[in-house]
Formats: sequence, C-alpha cells, structure tokens
Amino acid sequence: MKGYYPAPRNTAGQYWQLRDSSSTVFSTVARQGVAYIVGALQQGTPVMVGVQYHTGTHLSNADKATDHFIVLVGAGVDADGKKYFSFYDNAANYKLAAEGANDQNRLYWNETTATLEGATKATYSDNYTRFYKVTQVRKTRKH
Amino acid sequence: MKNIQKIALFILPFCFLFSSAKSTLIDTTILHSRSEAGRLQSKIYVSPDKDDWHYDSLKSFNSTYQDENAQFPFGSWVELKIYRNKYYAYYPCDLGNLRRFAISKNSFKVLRAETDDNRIVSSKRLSNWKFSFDIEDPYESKKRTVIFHIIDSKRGLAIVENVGEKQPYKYTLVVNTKELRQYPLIVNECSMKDSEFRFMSPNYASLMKTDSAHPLRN
Repeated sequence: MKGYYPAPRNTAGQYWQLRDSSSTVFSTVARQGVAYIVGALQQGTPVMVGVQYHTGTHLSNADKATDHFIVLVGAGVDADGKKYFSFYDNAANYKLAAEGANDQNRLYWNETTATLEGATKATYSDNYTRFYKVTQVRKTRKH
Repeated sequence: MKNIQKIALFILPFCFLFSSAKSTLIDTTILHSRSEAGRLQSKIYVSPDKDDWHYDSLKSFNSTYQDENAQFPFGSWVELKIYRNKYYAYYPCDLGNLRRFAISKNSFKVLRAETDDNRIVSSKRLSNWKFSFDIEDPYESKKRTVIFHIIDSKRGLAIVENVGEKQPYKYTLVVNTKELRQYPLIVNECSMKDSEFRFMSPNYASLMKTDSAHPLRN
C-alpha cells in the first residue's frame, strides 16, 4: 500500500466492523463496508481489511475479533458467477510471488449472508493455509 | 626438570584457551524447531545471552516516555510470561501478539498489533501498590477503568487489570522495561507468521494478594 495508509480503528465513517469476537455478522455494516471496497478499487485504491482465521479468543487486536490484516487489490467474477476480491497476503513465505500475490487469493462476497470469506494461498510458517473471514474494513487514506 | 617446564609452558596456553572457551559456550535450550527443505521455518528457544538484541527490540516501542526517573506506575511495561513456574520475557513471532503499555501523566498507550493511544481522564493512588486510571479511547469516546497492581517493585512486576473485562482480556502480567533483562528470554524465531508458544496462565489471584507482608511485596 505504498503511498496509502489505513484509517485508524473506530473512526466514524472510515471503519466498518463486519464481525465481532464470536464471529457474529453485522450485515448492514458489512454491506456498507463492501460498497466502500468496490468504490475504492474502481478508483485503483487498495483497501486494508482485518480477518479472522481461528475460533476462540483473539488477543492481538483491540476489536477482539481480528487475527491478521491483508490488502484487497482487485475484484472479479469467477466461472461460477461468484463475486470476489483479490488480495495480497504478507503471511507468505519465501515463495512470495506464488503465495502472497497468488491470483487465487480470493475473498468471496455472499450477498445473502453478508459475509466476505475465502482461503489464502499463504502457508504461514507451519505450512498450513488459512480460511479468512473479514472482520473489519478500513478506509484508505493517501499520504 | 627443564623438560617438565617446557611441557608445562607448551600445555598452559591450550589450558587457558579451552577454559575460556568453556566459559563462553553456553547451551541454547531449543523448545521447538521446524525446517522445510533445509530452510528454517520456526524455532523457539531460550536465549542464553543477557545482551540479546531481542531485549532491546522489546523495549524500543516507547521512546517518548523512556524517562529513567519515571516513578511507578509511569513508564513502559512489557507482557511477561510464565513457563514451568518461572518468569520469562518473550519475543513473539508477531510482536502484535504481545501486549505492551506506555504510561505517562496524560496518556495510557496499549500496544498490540495496533496502538490504542488512550487519554487519561483521571488517576488515583488506591494504595502504595495500586493505581487506578480512568481512560478514554479518542475514537470510541468510551471511558473505561484500568487498575495497575504493583506486585514486586524490585523485580519490576505488575498486573494490569481491565475492569469489567473477562479473561483473557482482564489481566496482563507485565514487567517494567528497566527490569526486563532480569528475566530469561524465550524467542520465537519464525520465517513467516506462525502460532505463538503456549505459556501457563498466571494465577493472578495469588499474585495480587493484598497482604502487605506478602513476600512478593518488596
């Protein structure tokens, strides 16, 4: 996100909390967050989102829901007609191009459940991939 | 006799060499290690080095408030861990997984993956070992109370209590950064993001005994 930075947490109108610590989905907020993502990507602006990849407690972030952050860089529709957002993931190993920027790093948007979810190709240090559920969306600011 | 002297003179430097080598070679205790295709993925170890750079890195989060004369509870604090009933400093795979606190007269910063720069609305000294802070997150405009329990001032130990929270968010065992090097260090060296080492949960009730004669209250 060179030249950009994410808005701070809980900045009104610039931050959307899509899920809480118990993974409950806030559907209205989720739709607002996704609308922002679509608009930003159409302008060529990347968007940082927080994701959850395990159950239980989430200690590392103040929203108690987020485990990790990734950057959304594109959008598309797959062969089955499903809408997705492409992302870059810094939890990739030395095979960075093959994992962190893999074109199969996709979060799928489900209009009915208002959920944004998908698997990463990044294998982390333990050689296991994760399934991400988006917890928060940050508005992108320019330097 | 001359031969004995010659032999002694010959052997002496080697004796010195080996004795000094022995004193500098300290074993590193490996708690966990994993490699893939000859490349290290993850290694968790107890560092034998009191000058390990990880100590400095753990302390380097708070240059603004690194006041050597700062009195309790002001100053910088780092989460401390317990492993096999011993206290350890911990350098995680991801520094976002360690809680650190920076307290000045007006600001109560909580550092995790992100930094919460809370404003101190009011503070009270409840006893010699207990301090209460009413703090406010500037973005949430929501006030909350944090109680700081000093449990051993000589060893720089304290417990941060988030009033109204439940574990694991309620209590955090911390050490003042000035005393950090007193504690052995466990390092989680990882080439990518990985799971953190699992530590014992401290017995906070026992650590916070209010009895002034408690051996931890120095």
